[in-house]
Amino acid sequence: MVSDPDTELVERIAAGDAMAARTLMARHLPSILNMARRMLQSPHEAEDVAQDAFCKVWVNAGKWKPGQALFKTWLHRVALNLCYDRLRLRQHADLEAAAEVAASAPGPAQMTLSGQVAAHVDEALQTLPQRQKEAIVMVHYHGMSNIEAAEQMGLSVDALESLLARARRALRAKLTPIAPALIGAMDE
Amino acid sequence: MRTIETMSLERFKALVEAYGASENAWPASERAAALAFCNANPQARALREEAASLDAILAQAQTVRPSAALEARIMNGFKHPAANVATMRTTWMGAGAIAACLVLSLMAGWAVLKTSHGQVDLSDPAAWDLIGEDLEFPTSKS
Repeated sequence: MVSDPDTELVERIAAGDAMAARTLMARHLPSILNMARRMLQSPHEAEDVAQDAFCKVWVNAGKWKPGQALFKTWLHRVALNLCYDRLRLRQHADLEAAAEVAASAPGPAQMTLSGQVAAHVDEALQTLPQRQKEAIVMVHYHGMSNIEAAEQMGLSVDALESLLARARRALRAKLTPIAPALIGAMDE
Repeated sequence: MRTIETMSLERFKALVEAYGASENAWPASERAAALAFCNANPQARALREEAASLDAILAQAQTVRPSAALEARIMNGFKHPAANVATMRTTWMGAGAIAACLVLSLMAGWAVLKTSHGQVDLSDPAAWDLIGEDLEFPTSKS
């Protein structure tokens, strides 16, 4: 069995150790926050998801059973489910709200060069179908193993691999035409 | 577990197309074989380099650091169990104090009755006339 580097921290959190809570938060919050931002494309909603996810950690730390799954995987699953909840709500929300979210992003003229490159990449990610985006976010950006990500998405490893390959092909098609400009900007 | 003998160019291509150029992203069960295959095969190396160029662009995606305000919000939600125990203890102590006050009030009331009017039998209706209605009795008459 793979040892879980978070087990001891979770046990200390269950015993009320605030320092352990802070350490665990420092370890995983950046990843959770960035995952939620990529999934939701809304800084505010991503922060709410991150807060809700850690709230669940604080409440459920005492019930955590090591050995079933890595804590990191469980935490990402919790955050991902919170993202799904919000995405489902959005399907029912009016388009005005979606426009508001898009309008909150800064325009290219207001960005630095590296910001512009990031914006192109983020934009390309957002054009992916939902499941492809989830797969690339989990594996490419959050370093999950194929087995962890497949389990998280309720897929076979082969199906995950297929999603990843299609996502990367789509991203290549979108980003390769502007790659020289992007790479030039990256070098500056 | 795949070995270099069972790794093919087709499988290697599928790996880099799905997982990119970083060997750390490749499935653990195929990593060693894929790496050895790549080192021995120029076509595989070219495929890996192609994947690396896309990885480099994808790495430019925006990454944010959590704000201090968000960290504070999250930590505010953390309740120390000892604090909960202390709260519970305070609650019980409060309840105990209220109960003690009630008992003391009753005892004091009886004491007042006894000292002001001697031995009074409250089951006797005549005793109520004796006490008078201006007396503040600590419990209801029913």
